[in-house]
Amino acid sequence: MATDVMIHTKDLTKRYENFVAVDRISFDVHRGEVVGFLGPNGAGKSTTMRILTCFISATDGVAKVHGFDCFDEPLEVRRVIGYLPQRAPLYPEMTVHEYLDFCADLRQLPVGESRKKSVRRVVEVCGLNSFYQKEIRSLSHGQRQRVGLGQALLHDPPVMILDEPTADLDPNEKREFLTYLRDIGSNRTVILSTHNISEVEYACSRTLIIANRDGKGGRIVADGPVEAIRAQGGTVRYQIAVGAGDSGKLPSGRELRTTLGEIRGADRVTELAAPDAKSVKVEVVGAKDADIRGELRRAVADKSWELLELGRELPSLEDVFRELTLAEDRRDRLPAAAAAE
Amino acid sequence: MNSTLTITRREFRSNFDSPIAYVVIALSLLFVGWLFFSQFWTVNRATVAPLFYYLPWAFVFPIIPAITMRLFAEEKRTGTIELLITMPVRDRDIVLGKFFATLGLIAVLLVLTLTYPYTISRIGNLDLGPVWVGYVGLLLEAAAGIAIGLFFSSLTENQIVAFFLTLCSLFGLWAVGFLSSDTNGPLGNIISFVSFERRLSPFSRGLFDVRNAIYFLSVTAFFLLATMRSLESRKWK
Repeated sequence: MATDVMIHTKDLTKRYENFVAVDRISFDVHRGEVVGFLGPNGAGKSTTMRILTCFISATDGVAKVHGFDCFDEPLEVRRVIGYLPQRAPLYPEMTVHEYLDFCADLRQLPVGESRKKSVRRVVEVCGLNSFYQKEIRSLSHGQRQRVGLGQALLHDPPVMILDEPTADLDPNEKREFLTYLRDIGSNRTVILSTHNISEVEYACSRTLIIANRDGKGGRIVADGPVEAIRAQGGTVRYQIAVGAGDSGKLPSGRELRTTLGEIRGADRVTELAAPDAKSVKVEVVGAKDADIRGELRRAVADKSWELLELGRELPSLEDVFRELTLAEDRRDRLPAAAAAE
Repeated sequence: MNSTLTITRREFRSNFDSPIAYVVIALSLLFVGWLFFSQFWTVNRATVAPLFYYLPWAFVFPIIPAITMRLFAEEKRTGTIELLITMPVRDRDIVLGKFFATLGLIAVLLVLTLTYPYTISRIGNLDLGPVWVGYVGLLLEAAAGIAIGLFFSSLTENQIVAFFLTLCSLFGLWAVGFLSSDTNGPLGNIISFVSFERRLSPFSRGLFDVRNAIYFLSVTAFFLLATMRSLESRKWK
């Protein structure tokens, strides 16, 4: 059971001259948690991470990492974190070997067998072996990303802060990296921002969703395990597959949509790809506090179709994410005059 | 290893990973050497005075603006500054590391120019005392110039902007000395006080005046501190 608070923020606020980037966000992250930090572009994810790594200072509020205050004890904070900023900025003229050595020097890892062991571990985990002696300028984006991850892991930090760490990795590399994160996350703290919701579902024990509210800066709009956040959504989804049955005629997608769309409580009906030519499949979205499976079953029976499949499930994390963040996104897309009203 | 030294080593090496250092050093040596020896044969005397006249000009344009322009501007443009600053290092380690690395590059250049006085000492009777004092003066002037360049590089992501800001400042501080002979009163005193040219000329004549050394060291310290404040300002912007 995770009890140690490794990252603590309270009413964290970052104001710039013309806008508020982060607006009074508060959260704790415990040892052993891998937290996915989700949010649309401009919601304040990177700003929060930059405050936690002491790159910038908050205008107001408290930020602590491993018990050290980000404002008063920046060196102590930096010693206990491994940080990978967006796009893994590295020195192109250095070889991977020289770069990791440079980072090890800055982190004051003692020269000797223990440093060699740390470097070997990082080379193995991040898959740097084949380009270890190459100049960084000659590496692909994905390879650079892996070097960036390598430097973040070099000192085996108890807290890792990763800003879109998988952005340039191919699907296999992504999966390998996320599996590694999940493994190491059992005894340390990882906070990673990403746009990829499936990554959060795969690797993170907890999700924080940050979104702009009322034209102000980013605020936490959801916080908890993935399942709990999915339950926060106001809708549920029903998946229904129908066959010809006694009617002898397979309904068209449109026919099925119309029939089910007439049911009270079926807010939206969308046709899905059918698994075979003998069935039609649709998804019905309804309110979470109602269960319309009986009505759906009856509507299908009334038409003498055969009900092949009927399931009710919580909305996907992606749906909840859209629900929580889309309002502001729509507001941003309004014409200037309408937005000013 | 000490963080300042680690950063100094990396920065010093990175000077030689780009063609700028080679081109600037080679062209400066050729140009100053050509001016120096062309005067040497005309004067027909064993003196290195022309070296201490032309080399400070070469520092103003293009050496110091060219080698300092990228120091922070490039790191800001590429984002590497974020990774560097979030390492367990102080802003002061970063600023001093870059400063000493660049001063080291200038020291390499000055060592290479020793071939000129060496050549003259082989063919004439050269008094080496003023030569060494002149080199100390050049190094002090370079340190002040580098600190100014470092400061302007920390203000922008654009290397060209940093280059021209440094060039204009150094040119102003150097060329203002030529006005001092025509300006009397308090303004003349101020010009004489700030002028790099006025401060350096005693060194080139072999006179080590502590006041002039302190002036260059003060300018260096002031702009290094200003660079640290500039770097720190990212937190509040």
